[in-house]
Amino acid sequence: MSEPKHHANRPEHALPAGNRASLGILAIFIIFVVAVPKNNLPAVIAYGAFPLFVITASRISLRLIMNRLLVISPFVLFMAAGNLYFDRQPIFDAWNVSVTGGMISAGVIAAKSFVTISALLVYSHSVPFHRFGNALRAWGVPELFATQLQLVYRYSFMLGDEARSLQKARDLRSFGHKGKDIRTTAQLIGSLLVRSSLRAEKIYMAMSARGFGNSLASHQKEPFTMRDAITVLLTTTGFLTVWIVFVPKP
Amino acid sequence: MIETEGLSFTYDDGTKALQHITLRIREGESAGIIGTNGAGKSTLLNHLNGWFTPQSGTVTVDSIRSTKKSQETLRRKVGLVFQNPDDQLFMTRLYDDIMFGPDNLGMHRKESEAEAERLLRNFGLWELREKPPSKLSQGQKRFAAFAAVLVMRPPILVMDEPTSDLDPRNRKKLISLLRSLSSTRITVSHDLDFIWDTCDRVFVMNSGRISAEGTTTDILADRALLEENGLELPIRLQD
Repeated sequence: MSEPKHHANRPEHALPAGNRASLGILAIFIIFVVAVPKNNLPAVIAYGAFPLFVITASRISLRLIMNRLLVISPFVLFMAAGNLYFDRQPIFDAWNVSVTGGMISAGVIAAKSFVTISALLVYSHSVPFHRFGNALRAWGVPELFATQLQLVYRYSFMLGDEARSLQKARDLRSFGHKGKDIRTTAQLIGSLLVRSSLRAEKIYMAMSARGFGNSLASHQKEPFTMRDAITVLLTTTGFLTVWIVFVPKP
Repeated sequence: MIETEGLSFTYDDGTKALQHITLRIREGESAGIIGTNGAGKSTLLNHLNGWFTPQSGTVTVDSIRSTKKSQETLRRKVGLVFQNPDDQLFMTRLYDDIMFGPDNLGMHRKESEAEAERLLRNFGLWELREKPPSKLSQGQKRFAAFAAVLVMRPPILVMDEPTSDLDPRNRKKLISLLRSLSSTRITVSHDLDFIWDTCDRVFVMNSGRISAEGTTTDILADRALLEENGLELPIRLQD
């Protein structure tokens, strides 16, 4: 079963805090960014410095993060584009272009998405997924949610492999423009769903046979040390400072 | 004729799957490729049907050099039966899956329908043609996968572990079927008795290289050679 290449060389513990603290910082960061008012682009850009800083400090490949962002960019831009139509109130002119409120809020939405997703990607590239699950549990996230997330992650690669196999099988019997039409693709997806369902049943039987009791928690604990507490405090103070500087009081 | 000359291939993670593979398989010949897990057998198979193009060296099938441009031409000549039939059958109706290849090849509809019926009846699958492949037994899926490839009448048939999941009766049936084919055949299998029954020549692979080649009886009866390559004698020759 294949896994993303970066998992083989993940710089675990390259984050400045433990996994549990890092998850906490990530959550606080996302809350701050999401809370930025819709027309405040400078604040979002300022918050964008945080994931950039962590990428540099952790020696994660910026190119890898940018490639991932490129993949999701069509969805982000599609979401942001709606604002261009809903808000056409001109705010100011720049280089003979009338900048509307919609343009600014669309830019803020896109920037927020990229900044928060970058932070998520940095975390996922630094922390093995099973430890992410343990960190969630340590913060009191319900067991059901954490276990479901881990199972989805575990079997998403298998699903990817199955999808690639089916695609290969189709391609090997497709010639010219024939064989890759919508109807065939729909059948392929249908088959994948059926097979996933059957596979899931077998996996559950195998897990039950070894005493699975609705939890995938490992024995590895995620400590929260004094150093972690100080790191969380300092980063939160940093986020708050950016807020005070860039987000004007109403 | 299938030829490879100095074929080498390295996966993205640095695994050298093939190292300077040179082999020739004549038209109409039935060749077996054996070796331990990770020897490079499946990687070699994927080069023979153009799925992978050579990183270095060459692969030539009936005078057609394997390149990105010739991939589709090679697929018309080389039919690949997957190790896992679940990976091969993806349509929601068995009959549609069998007819998928001929329809895309532009084969004459009536001819391909007749051939599909012949194959399905031969394999005992005609009554199941309306069923989704997921509802078939593993053996039935295996034969369905064969039918899906054979219906395209490929001059060259490549098979990856064709007897896995087959009970003794179906295994015998498959041997009988393969012996009736006139196409060039290449079989990758751990089932050395099956190789004995269906192949004229054998290539032994080890760590991405061809470590030995010869007639089936010469290779598969050579205990020392097989053990040197992590294999054992076929069951019929064991004490």
